[in-house]
Amino acid sequence: MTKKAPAKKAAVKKSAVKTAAATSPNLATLTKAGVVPVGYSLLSPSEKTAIESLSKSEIAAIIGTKTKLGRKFFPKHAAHGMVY
Amino acid sequence: MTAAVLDSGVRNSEIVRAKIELFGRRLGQTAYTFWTHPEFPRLYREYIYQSHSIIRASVPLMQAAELASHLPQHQNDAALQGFAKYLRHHIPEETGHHEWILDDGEAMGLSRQAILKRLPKESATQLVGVQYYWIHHYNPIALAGFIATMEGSPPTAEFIDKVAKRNRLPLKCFSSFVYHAKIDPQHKRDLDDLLDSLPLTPEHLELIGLSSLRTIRMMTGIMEDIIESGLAS
Repeated sequence: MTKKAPAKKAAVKKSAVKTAAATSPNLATLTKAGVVPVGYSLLSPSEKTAIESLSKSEIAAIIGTKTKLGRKFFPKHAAHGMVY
Repeated sequence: MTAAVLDSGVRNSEIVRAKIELFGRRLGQTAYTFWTHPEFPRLYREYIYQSHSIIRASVPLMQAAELASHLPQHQNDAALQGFAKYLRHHIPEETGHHEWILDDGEAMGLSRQAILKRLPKESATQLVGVQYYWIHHYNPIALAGFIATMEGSPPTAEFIDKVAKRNRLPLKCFSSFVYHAKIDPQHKRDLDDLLDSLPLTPEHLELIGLSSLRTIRMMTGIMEDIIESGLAS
C-alpha cells in the first residue's frame, strides 16, 4: 500500500500539469524551461495576462541564458533602479 | 490594422510593465549587487564609461525613429504616428543628458576626454544596434520597449543619497541619477499614458515586448560586466 502512494501522487501531479498546460500554455512552457519556478503562485492578474499574451518569439527571447530566472531570481523583486 | 483589444481588460502599459517586471528580475538583482558592492567607487567609474556609451545614443535613436516614421510604408500606421508625436515632445526632454554622465565622471576623477575616447564595449553597440535595425528595417515602434525598460525604474533620490553617504562620495558624483530620480517617474507615466492611448495591434505589442526583453537581456550582461571589469581595473 505504501509503495502505491507515490504513483498516485505522481498521477495527480501529472494531471495538474496537464490542466495547467491547457489553461496557461505559456506559463507551462516557461515553467518547463526553468524560467518560472514550479508551483509559483504569486503572479498578479496582469502578470498572468502578460505571460499568456507572450508570442512564440517572446517566449524564445525569454528562454535565453541571461534571462533564466528559476528559483534564484524569479521570486526576488529588486527595485533599486537600473541604469539611468 | 485593428487596435489590440485584450479580453481581460488589462491596459497595454500594464502588459508591457508586467513583462519588464517579471523578466527583469535578474537585471534588478544585478543592479542591486552593483549599488551595494563594497568596492562601489571602482565599479561606479566603470559604470560611467559604459553607461555613457549607451546614453549618448538615446537621443539619436529617438531622432532616427521619429524620422523613419515619415517613410511611406509607415504612413498608415496610426500607432507609430502617435509614438512619433510623443518622440517629438520627448527628444528635447532627453537632450544633453549624456553630459550629466560626463560631469559625474569628472567628479569621480575621470577625464571627460577619456570617457569620450574609450572604445565602446561590443555589448553597448549590440544594445543600441538592434534598435537601429528595428527602426530602419522593420518598425520604429520597437524603440518604445527600449525606452520603457531604460526609464522604467530609476533609483529614488533618497536611495542615491544613501549610496553617496555609504561610500563617502559627494552627491555631485551622482548628478545624472539625481536628475533622473526627479524626471523619470513623470516620463514613465507619460509613456504609459501613450501606450494606453495608442491603437496598438498584437504585432506592435509583440515587437515592443521583444524590444524590452532584448534590452533586459543585454543590460543584464552589461551590468554583470561592469561589476567584473570594475573589480579588475
